[in-house]
Amino acid sequence: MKAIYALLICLAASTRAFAQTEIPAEPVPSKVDCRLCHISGSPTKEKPSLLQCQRVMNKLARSTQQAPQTITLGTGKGTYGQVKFSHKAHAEMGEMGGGCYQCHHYDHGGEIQKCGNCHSATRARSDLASPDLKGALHQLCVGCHKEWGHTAECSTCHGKKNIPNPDLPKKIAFRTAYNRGSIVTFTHADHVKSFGLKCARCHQDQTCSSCHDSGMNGAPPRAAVKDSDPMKASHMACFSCHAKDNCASCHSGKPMDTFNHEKSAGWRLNRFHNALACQRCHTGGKFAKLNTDCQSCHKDWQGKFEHKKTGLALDETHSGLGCDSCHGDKEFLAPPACSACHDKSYPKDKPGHIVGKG
Amino acid sequence: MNSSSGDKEKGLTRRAFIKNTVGIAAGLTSLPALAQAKPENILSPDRMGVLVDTTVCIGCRNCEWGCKTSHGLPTPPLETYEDASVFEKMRRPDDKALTVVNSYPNPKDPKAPYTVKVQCMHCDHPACVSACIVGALSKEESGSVIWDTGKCIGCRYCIVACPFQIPAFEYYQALQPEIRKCDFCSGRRKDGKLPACVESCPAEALTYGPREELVRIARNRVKRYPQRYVNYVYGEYEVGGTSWLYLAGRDFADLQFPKLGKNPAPGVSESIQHGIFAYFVPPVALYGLLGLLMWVSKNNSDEGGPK
Ligand code: SF4
Ligand code: SF4
Ligand code: SF4
Repeated sequence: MKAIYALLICLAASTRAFAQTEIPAEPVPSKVDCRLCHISGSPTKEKPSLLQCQRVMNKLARSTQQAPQTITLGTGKGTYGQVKFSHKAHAEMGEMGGGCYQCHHYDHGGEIQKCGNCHSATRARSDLASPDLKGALHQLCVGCHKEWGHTAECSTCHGKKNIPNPDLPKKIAFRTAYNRGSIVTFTHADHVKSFGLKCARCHQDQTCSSCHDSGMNGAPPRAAVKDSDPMKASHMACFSCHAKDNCASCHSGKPMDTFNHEKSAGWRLNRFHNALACQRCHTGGKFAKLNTDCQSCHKDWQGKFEHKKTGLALDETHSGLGCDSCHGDKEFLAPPACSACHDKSYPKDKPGHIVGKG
Repeated sequence: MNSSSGDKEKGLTRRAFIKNTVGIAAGLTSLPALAQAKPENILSPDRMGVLVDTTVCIGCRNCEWGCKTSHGLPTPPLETYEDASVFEKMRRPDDKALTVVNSYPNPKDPKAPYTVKVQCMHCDHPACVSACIVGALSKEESGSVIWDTGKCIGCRYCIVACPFQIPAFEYYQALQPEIRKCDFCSGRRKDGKLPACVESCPAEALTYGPREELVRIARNRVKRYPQRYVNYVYGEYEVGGTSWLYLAGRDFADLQFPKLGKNPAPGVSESIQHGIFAYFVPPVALYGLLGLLMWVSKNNSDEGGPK
């Protein structure tokens, strides 16, 4: 009997011991192979057994939708001020050349790592394998900026100096081989600004200077009519939206005008509406006629609207009036004529005081 | 910086120096005795260096500004350094700028020229130190090759000896000219600070660290980005190795780096009659001796009064 007990105890002990040396259960599958960074198969928090960073380019697809708009870089303690980095704009431009990993080269699939998590905040340090934060940021930015700006002027980023926007073409006329209308006019500015077409849909693997250098720094002017790419490529780019259109809606004998809302829809856009993407009003991908009554879109403006934002702070008498008392016919662009209400004896003063547009 | 170490030391040096001078006067040919009086060349295994990655350098010249500011040399404000027209002609470090940045075309990307910072390389076996007959130049254990105003007699041997044409002479100073060159921020480093140029470099094109580690890092970069670099670490072996090391995207000869052998410059680690000295020392030494005597007699006359 004793022998059997002993045997059982031994057996139990050995299975326990065995269980302990068992390889732990597979971790939750990550989008990235752990071994890219960890040398040993079972890293712990205390001993992550990390490889020396090889600047692995993990090409995870990330959307720029949630990308932060601007990020403030630097401490501002040095000679130069902080940099308001237009992160989202750069992220969208980055889509044309490879995506987020161009900068976020260490992306293990979870939350985006902050640059400062790996790159040291101080230059005097022991781990010299990767540059400190200041160096890393400058190396990233200056490469492109120097290439298309032809200068490493610090004030381009550190300061109020506006970075020149690319001089985008309003429209591009393409010459094609189609004999019933050889010219296709691509209304570039409309597509980008109003129709919400992302640059990256057409432009891939191009350098910054292919847009930022055109029309600047003495580059030759653009050709009035360009020869089109081979048919397949150019049609594919357009078909994703224009699948149902017929040939004649794009092909014509001569360059076409850019989109004119007043001409096509019968409703003139004011400068505020003009700056909006079409989808801001025409929601759900439908471009049907909308109700032109302001309140159909501007539902809860009342109580929030401040007239002084237009540059004129209304005086007490006028601030009590309804908008249409002065702005008849929903005309808000031109200042109303005083004589519409007041006869010749009206006071010379304005209906308030000018504060200037902020 | 170093001058704060006190006049007492300076006085001692002078006295020791007078002895040396007597030695010289005793016989011009007994120069080896002087060579032995020079400090020993101690190379600490963890001596520091700087890796200059010319493919990372953006040509902002903040390093020039940092260097001048930290060494009390006059400089226009930092903003003026953005003017890229200085790159139109090649410059050399001199007594007014201990380091300068030059620009060279980049055949891989004409829009992004290579810019190369030049300064003393802080040789492990410095020819300038060997050439100096009064021991005014010395290699510190930390890597710096420094120069002592109190000892220098302005003989210009170091200028001739340096394979990188670094030491410069204050030509406009007729009486007590000074040799000026990058001191690898010896004083700042002793205070635990980074060299001023390394600190000012926005792109960390200059990496300061133990020389051995820098060599490893440099090799690693070349291995990882073979398209970006030529497979060579300049300074690793040149004239016996230098504290400052360079990486480049095109042939070093195209960036005006001299082609040098692996052996220390002639005259180094040998007694000084050998090598170059055998050829040009005697006339220059004579010239130097005359200068010395003038200098000694001048100093003797003001040694009595408080300084
Ligand atoms: S580069 Fe010239 S000045 Fe500098 S340590 Fe070497 S020999 Fe001396
Ligand atoms: S190490 Fe110091 S002295 Fe030498 S170039 Fe840099 S800042 Fe100037
Ligand atoms: S500060 Fe750095 S990046 Fe600027 S010129 Fe000097 S080495 Fe090049």
